[in-house]
Amino acid sequence: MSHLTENQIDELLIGSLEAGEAALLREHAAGCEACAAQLAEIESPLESFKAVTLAWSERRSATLPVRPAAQRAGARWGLGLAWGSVAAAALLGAVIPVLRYERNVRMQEAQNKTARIQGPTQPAVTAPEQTANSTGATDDSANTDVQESAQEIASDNRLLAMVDEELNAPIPAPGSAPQGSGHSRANTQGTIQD
Amino acid sequence: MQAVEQAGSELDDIDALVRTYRPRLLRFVMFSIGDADLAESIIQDCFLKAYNGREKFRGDCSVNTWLTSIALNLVRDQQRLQKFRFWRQVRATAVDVTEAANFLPSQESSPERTLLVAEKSKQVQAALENLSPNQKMIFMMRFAEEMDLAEIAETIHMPINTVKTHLHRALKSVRAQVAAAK
Repeated sequence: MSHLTENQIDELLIGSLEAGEAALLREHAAGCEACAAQLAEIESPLESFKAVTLAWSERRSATLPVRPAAQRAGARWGLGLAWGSVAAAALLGAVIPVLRYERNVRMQEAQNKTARIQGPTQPAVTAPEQTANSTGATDDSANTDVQESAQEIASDNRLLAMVDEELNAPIPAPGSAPQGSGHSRANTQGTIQD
Repeated sequence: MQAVEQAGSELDDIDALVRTYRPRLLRFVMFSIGDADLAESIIQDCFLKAYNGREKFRGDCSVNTWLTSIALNLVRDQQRLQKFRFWRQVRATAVDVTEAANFLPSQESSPERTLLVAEKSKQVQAALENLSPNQKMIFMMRFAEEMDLAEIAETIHMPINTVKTHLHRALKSVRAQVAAAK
């Protein structure tokens, strides 16, 4: 077999030869000093480069934080949780004002009722006096207050149960959520009007 | 199927993944772009991307090849930025090969041997300077990562013959540096 050409050596290194042909060329180079030297001239720098650059990158990699990617991935999970909290807070933020509004409406109605009862006899009472009077009002009005606060508590409990359900429920498909919450709200409003 | 599951669980363990593949990936990116700091940043992104997208790993190549293809895309993204090119020229953090050669495994560590190895490695590094970014990446995949031609062609989305042409060009450049050093 004749000596290896430069092109054959390149093909051998590039890995573009058939396995059989590559083995033949290697075999020849192993027994031919001139070809072995020619092959080593290009193969040896490549091997040195591979070893030195790996030594460098292993050392550099060892100086990097132990698990930077994991921390950042964790941070992303954290971010997900944060977004979850924000969403939950937004939901609560939407529900709490409704609760407050409904409670205010009920208190306003209770005050109006008291005012209507007491109105004709004491038309010019100031607010603190009105409160004092309403606490010491007739048995009827006391019964009404107890009844109303019981209704209020029951209504609040229903609303809170509804909030719990909403928070615990899996994320609803678009279109299904408004139906449920609208239904509950209608019920709540119905209770107030009663 | 079993291989996919095995690779899948390998991808779930981010610690082991980083420990096993980071040095080689860092080398691939570093010597493709010639900037150590930027290479580190790309490698961080690469592992994050791989971890978050681990469901997409189909197991039709090795984990190393898959990670290399992610790193390759990130390198290309960087190269698209003109700004990056500017900064790369201004503040590229090059590698001191002679220093790196001191960290070779013990059998390589006689001072004369270390010096010789460092010298030869420098010749290849100098040869890389004359290559295009694609040629550098192909060179690294073949001569550092030891990927075969079909794998390289698939990873870099080029025909095998084009990959071969780039590798011939790279070897010509190495030969020129070796000859110049004589």
